[in-house]
Amino acid sequence: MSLIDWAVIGTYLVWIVYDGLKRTKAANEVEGYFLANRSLPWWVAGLSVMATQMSAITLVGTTGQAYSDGMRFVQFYFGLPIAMVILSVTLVPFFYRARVYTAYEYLERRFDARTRMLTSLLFLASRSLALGVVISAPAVILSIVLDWNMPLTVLAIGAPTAVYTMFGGVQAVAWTDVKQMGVVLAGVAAAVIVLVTGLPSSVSLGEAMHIVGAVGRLKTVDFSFDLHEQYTFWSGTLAGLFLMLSYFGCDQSQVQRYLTASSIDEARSSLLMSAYVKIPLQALILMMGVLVFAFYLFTQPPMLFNPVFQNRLAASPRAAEYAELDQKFAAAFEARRQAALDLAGAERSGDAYRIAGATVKFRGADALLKNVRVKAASLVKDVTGDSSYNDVNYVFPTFVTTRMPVGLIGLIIAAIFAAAMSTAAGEMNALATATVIDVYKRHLKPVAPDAHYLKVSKLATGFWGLVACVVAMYAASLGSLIEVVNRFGSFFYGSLLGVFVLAIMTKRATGRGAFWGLIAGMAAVAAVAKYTTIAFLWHNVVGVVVVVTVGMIISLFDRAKPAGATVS
Amino acid sequence: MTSPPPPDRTHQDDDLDRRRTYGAVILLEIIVIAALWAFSRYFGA
Repeated sequence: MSLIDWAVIGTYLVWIVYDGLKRTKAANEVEGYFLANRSLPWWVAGLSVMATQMSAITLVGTTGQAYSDGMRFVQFYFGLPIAMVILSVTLVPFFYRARVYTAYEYLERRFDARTRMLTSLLFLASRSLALGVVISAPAVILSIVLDWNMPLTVLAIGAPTAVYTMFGGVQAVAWTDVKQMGVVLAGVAAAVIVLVTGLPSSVSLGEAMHIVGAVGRLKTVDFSFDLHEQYTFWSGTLAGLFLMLSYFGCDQSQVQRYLTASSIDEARSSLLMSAYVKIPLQALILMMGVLVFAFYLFTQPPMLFNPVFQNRLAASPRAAEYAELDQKFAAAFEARRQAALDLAGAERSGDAYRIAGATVKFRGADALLKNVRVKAASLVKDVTGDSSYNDVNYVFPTFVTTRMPVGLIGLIIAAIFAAAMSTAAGEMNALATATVIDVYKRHLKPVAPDAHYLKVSKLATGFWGLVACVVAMYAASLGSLIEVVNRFGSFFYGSLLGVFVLAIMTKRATGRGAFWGLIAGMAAVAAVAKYTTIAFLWHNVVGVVVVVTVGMIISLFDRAKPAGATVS
Repeated sequence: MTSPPPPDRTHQDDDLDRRRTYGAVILLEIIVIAALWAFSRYFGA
């Protein structure tokens, strides 16, 4: 990497930390520190919602997914706009009027202290692990692709984030989120321009789209109804709706973003911003992955995108086998490149018969190349014993570091940093809020001056920043931890939504019903995950249905008197 | 001659505005999904 790229990354880090620390003065009391005194305009809260949701994993991982599998992942977000409308009508005004700091605080008013404590602890457990992964995932990729030191990469992402979040509170988080979204969008725009202009002069963008479309990379909407298929129109719209309702309505890292808005209408508008923008933005990010695929149709990619595994194979006793595969890969690439050029020529001619023939030839050449890559991956698994080897996450960073011009490499890496830092900052801030409001103030020290709570809040933010860095380093050496975190999250989300449905949609539900309903919901999701192959998005639906059903049955037999307000 | 002041906005006006906004969100989603579907049909055929 050149000095200019280092300068771009350095400038970004200094600018963000400076901008965050500028907000320290506004965070001189607990309400200012955690809720910005409910003063932020809708567009700041809205960009903060989006920035918290879009992590570096979204930016790097989904681009790689689009490279290898196409744009189907966009369907994951089809439930989001509907969820935002439902939340704008129900939970947003409810939380805002209740003047709560955390979503779980409301559950004590409606049910009891133990339901609040359980949900808050579940949030703390799942989000603290997820926070580690949010930092670890890009750190692992950048340290491998750029040959950086892993602990230093973790610290480069985690430490500045912890510093400005600790001192500046939610104001720092929200205003840096705005800048970080700007950096991410600038990075995406730069990458798209480089990719489009990097196509051969003889191939137009439209022809390139026809070529990648011929091997399914542009398939975006799948109307088949299959509970075992991860991304379809139905799983995204129906099951995804439940996930989005839970994430944006019950997860403190999101709820806190829109509680900072200056009025209920501003809070609503901040959520609706995602409803308008999220699907087109995600489609653009996926398109970036598809364009990387189009680029590598005409420029030879590495056979394996993870350089560490490349080197390990080259140094292993099966190096000769690897070299032979590499040669086959080069030949298969050349055949596919020629087939792609032929297909582009056929598209230009407009001759349907010629297009059909060239399409068949190109699909065959692509399958051959894919086959060589499968054999190479199998060799990696044999040699290293890593049965879960997958290099999709390395596709985009490899393209950036080897094919982008000087200066833009720094910009894209700054964008990856920005995506990771904005998510991590929102989560650190939310973890500290739940720790101080739901645990410390509620159970350990109910009465103290505001200055005391402010000091504890800053310490709690610093503590979670430290935990994040430790978990990130630990997660790097344990690949399966990422899966554990995702699974734990999926047990939690649907069930948590079920508790809020009981809280605001029914008058009869009691604290005992909600508490045991939540336990039953998580157990049911764990059983479904273990004994069936139902796609994980549907687990959220299972969680909601079981919590509401069990919660209502227990409540009907419960002698305790239901309390609190409902929407109905 | 000055024009009469506009009538005060009522709760119903706000409600109507909000409903229009929610309708616009859903309509836009339908348009975006239809556009994605058409895009993939055109280039993937």
